[in-house]
Amino acid sequence: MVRYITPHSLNEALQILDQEEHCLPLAGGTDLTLLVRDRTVQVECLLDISKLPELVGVHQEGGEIRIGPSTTLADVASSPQLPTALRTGAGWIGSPQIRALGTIGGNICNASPCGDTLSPLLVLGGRFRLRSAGGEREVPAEAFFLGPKRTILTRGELLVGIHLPREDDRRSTFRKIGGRGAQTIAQVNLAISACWREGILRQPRLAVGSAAPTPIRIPAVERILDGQSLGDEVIAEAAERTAAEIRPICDQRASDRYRRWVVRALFRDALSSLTEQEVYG
Amino acid sequence: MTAPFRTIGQPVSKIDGVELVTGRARYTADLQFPGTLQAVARRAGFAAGLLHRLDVEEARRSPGVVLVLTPADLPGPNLIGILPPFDQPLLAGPEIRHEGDSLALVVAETQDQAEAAASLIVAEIEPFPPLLDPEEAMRPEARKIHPNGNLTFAKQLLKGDVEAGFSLAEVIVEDTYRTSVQDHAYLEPEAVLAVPESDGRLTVYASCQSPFHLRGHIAANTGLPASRVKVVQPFVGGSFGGKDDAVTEMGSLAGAAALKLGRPVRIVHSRRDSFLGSHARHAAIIHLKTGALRDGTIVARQAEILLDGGAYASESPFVVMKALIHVAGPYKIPHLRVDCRAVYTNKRQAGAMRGFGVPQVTFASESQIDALARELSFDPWELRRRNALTVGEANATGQVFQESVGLIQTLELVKVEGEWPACWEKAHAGSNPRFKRGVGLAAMMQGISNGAEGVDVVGASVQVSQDGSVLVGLGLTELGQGSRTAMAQIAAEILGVRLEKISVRQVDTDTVHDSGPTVASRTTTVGGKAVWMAAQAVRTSLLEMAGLMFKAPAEAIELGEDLAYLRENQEAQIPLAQVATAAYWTGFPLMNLAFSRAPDAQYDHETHQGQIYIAYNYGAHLMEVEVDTWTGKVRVLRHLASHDVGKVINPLGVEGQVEGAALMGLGFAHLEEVLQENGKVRNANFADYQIPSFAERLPTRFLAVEEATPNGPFGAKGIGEPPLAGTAAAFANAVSDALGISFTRLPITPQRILEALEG
Ligand SMILES: Cc1cc2nc3c(=O)[nH]c(=O)nc-3n(C[C@H](O)[C@H](O)[C@H](O)COP(=O)(O)OP(=O)(O)OC[C@H]3O[C@@H](n4cnc5c(N)ncnc54)[C@H](O)[C@@H]3O)c2cc1C
Repeated sequence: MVRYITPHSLNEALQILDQEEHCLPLAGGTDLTLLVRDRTVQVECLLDISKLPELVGVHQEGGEIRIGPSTTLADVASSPQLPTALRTGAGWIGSPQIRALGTIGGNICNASPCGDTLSPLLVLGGRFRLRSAGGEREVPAEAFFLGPKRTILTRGELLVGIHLPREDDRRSTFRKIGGRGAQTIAQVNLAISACWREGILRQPRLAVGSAAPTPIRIPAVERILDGQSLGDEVIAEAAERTAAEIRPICDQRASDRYRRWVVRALFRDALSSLTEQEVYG
Repeated sequence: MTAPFRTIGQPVSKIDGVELVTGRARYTADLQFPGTLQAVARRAGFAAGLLHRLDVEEARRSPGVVLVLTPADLPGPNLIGILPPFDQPLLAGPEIRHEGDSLALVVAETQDQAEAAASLIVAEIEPFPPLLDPEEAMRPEARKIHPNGNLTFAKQLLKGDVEAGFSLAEVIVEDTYRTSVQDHAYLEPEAVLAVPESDGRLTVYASCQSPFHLRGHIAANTGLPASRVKVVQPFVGGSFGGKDDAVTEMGSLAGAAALKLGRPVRIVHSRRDSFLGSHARHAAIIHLKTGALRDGTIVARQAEILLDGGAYASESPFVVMKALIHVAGPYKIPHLRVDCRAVYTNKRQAGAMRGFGVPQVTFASESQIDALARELSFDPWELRRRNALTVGEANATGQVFQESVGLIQTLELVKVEGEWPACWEKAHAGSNPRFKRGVGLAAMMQGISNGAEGVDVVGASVQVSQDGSVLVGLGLTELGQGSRTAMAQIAAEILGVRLEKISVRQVDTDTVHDSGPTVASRTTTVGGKAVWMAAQAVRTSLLEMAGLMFKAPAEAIELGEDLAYLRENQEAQIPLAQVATAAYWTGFPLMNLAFSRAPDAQYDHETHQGQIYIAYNYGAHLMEVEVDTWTGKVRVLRHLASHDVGKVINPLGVEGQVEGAALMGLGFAHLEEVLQENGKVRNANFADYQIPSFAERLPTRFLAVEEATPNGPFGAKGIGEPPLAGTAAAFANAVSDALGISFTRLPITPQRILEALEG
């Protein structure tokens, strides 16, 4: 029998995690309960952190936006102060039922290469604050993911905050393709952010999900695009390069070749919506 | 009866709709009986092999376990199937024939305990290299999956002289078409609950499709006489053909365990169990050759059809028959030769699924009609029209109908409403380098009734109470298709009562005549006829009683709106409840058990020439699509589905069937494929096996043609299956048209589209 614990404060939660040998934090449970149900993970207790006030909500603090990890995906998708890519990514996850339960922290800590908020967080300069009974550290989003379902979180450590710099002149966008039009796991997803002024793209960031063991940034393409006015040739080169840089797998959801083909389309579509102009190339 | 109808043809909501949408409807998994145990089967996990040892001792000692059933514990023959000799064991061994073979049944206090214990069973299996390719399985040197070899069933259809036909042909087209395994993907997975009764009988509640079939197998496998077994069908969350064999297996196992333990035993499949342990659509390889004259007249067709039946025969013989008869399409082709075979492989078994072989061969046939049109530089609509079957023309089996052949009307409707060929020209006028448009047509037919698959009888009961309310019973099942509502409409029309006064009870094998399986789009046609007959008998009582009360002859009286009234003086009325009460006290029978029997199929078993089905549903589809050449995604812009249904009983019901079948057809043609690698299903869940979601819903518009058949109530013919095949074939033709590439394999997934485009 698995025990279920509801802590009253973040501190209490951290204490429990510190003391309990086989205890996992439970947020929305949309990933974890399935694993417990089919005995893929062995746990003795589940610590429900979904209602801890310290972990819920979207806050503006100085030059930063802080998102509590237990904020639901539905709330992330409908928070106007959040960048477009993140809202769109969260809005594409599962169904309304899943988004009402599932959280952004759960999406991050579950660390699936196809998590739909992950590529947005990479291009938005996201930083994660991690805390345990013993102390706290902060890491850039890119340094957090180690592989499918593997992160740098250590035993007893919780994700307690997701921080985004406020960059008012940066735009962002997200695209996803899956087996069908809704409620579908990404075969590939992609996020771009950049400053777009007077027809020139500056400081672009590009990240792709479901295309490698972790969501990845594609610096080679960012370099191709930086300072460019997006003529057909640049776009064609950047799209091909994106397809070349990813390392997708072939599985029951899609072949590696298909993922490389469609990432070019996602890239062009994302760029079109970022710059509000048709992009071919 | 004099027109106009009061209920027939009216758009009425499902009579059980409120229960269904409020969650009040109770399914097999919801039923509560004290002391109910849960059971889980341990599956083989190997596609082929020999079971050397089965050790269930640890499972027996596991917490909560009360019984582990092994083959030795089964009192009966441990066999099920559709056509004797049966070949599917309830619990397999020593020969393992597919991954989902059940080896033992663990019965425990809770589901969790049963699952935990099932994983403790030790099965020592010596694996064999599995036979997965149906063509390979047909080679003489192939290992025999069953003692008599790997050929499950083979049939031939011969009409005219095919060689002579081809020698006349001025143009010949030839190709090989392939379709994949489709899962039923019903909302409610298979479930049974067996309850031993204090009088020595056994009641089995089952989410099933064919209760009498189930009863027979449960009786044989538990050793009870069939009359001591009662099968009750609660609400069913979809079946589409799937809840025959799998539920037979589960019902027999649960029944055996319940009798042994004297306690209720329930088995509810997980989605994974459903993928591994139920019967899916046959994958097919169809080699097809068609010859025509330059003027578009088709003169000959030859087909070799190979169906992958998986590990057991199940419905394969009947699917063979259906594919055999339908591969010629709805065309008058004078010379035909068709060979159709089903073979055993070490894969998930194939069985009945909505369409029953027709979607596979319709895709092949309609793709080839388009290929022929291209070859002849002929308008594809004109080509279909020119060869279309009509009244008085012989179809593939040489059967000639004198009525109810509405194919040309369906073709004309989609032409007019779809603005063919202007729509085709418009679709191809665009010059968008990324999005390509195309229009696809398909024509089809589908036999209604069991036809050559056996005797076609249905029992029904109609009972009028003294208060004028009506109880209808039928031996065929409500599977979500709305048959309860259609039966209620038929009874209401004949008895002159309002629909609210009618109840249609759940099927219970104690109370109605064995009516065979609920298949072949026959419920409204053959089942509706039985209700029609029973209602007519009770109507006679009511008219005679009313005649006594009005002091008028029965012919002068009409029933309607819960009243009996004089035809000539409609102000003269007596409430039907008074008539019914008087009829009771006077001694008129107010209940009737009727038995409808479709004319037997009569045909030559060597050539399959003769009278096979009592009627056909004919249809024409037009679909316009837009293909994104960057992603392979397809958007369906327009879909017209016209079918000759004889008579629309309930427009809402028909639309629901057409839209649902169309979406399933889209899944078959575009999205769905059970992936089996080394004989193991790789996508046994709905994250990886994606069925159309609401985002994929089609803009289907149904266009009714009503060419009445004398063999159905009010002229009605079935509609449950046909639109699936029409949609799938039209989709394939539309995508092929958009891209100028002939796709010969279903599903045409976005990935396959890009593979074809990128080369
Ligand atoms: C039907 C369905 C559809 C889905 N569709 C999608 C989809 O389209 N895209 C997508 O990306 N995902 C999808 N998912 C997966 C899932 O819904 C998301 O990943 C969701 O964001 C997980 O959040 P949760 O709160 O439910 O996580 P939980 O299941 O509660 O937790 C997930 C993991 O994170 C850990 N965890 C949670 N919070 C913390 C924390 N603060 N600190 C440390 N560890 C923590 C848990 O211990 C667990 O290991 C789907 C799931 C289902 C069931």
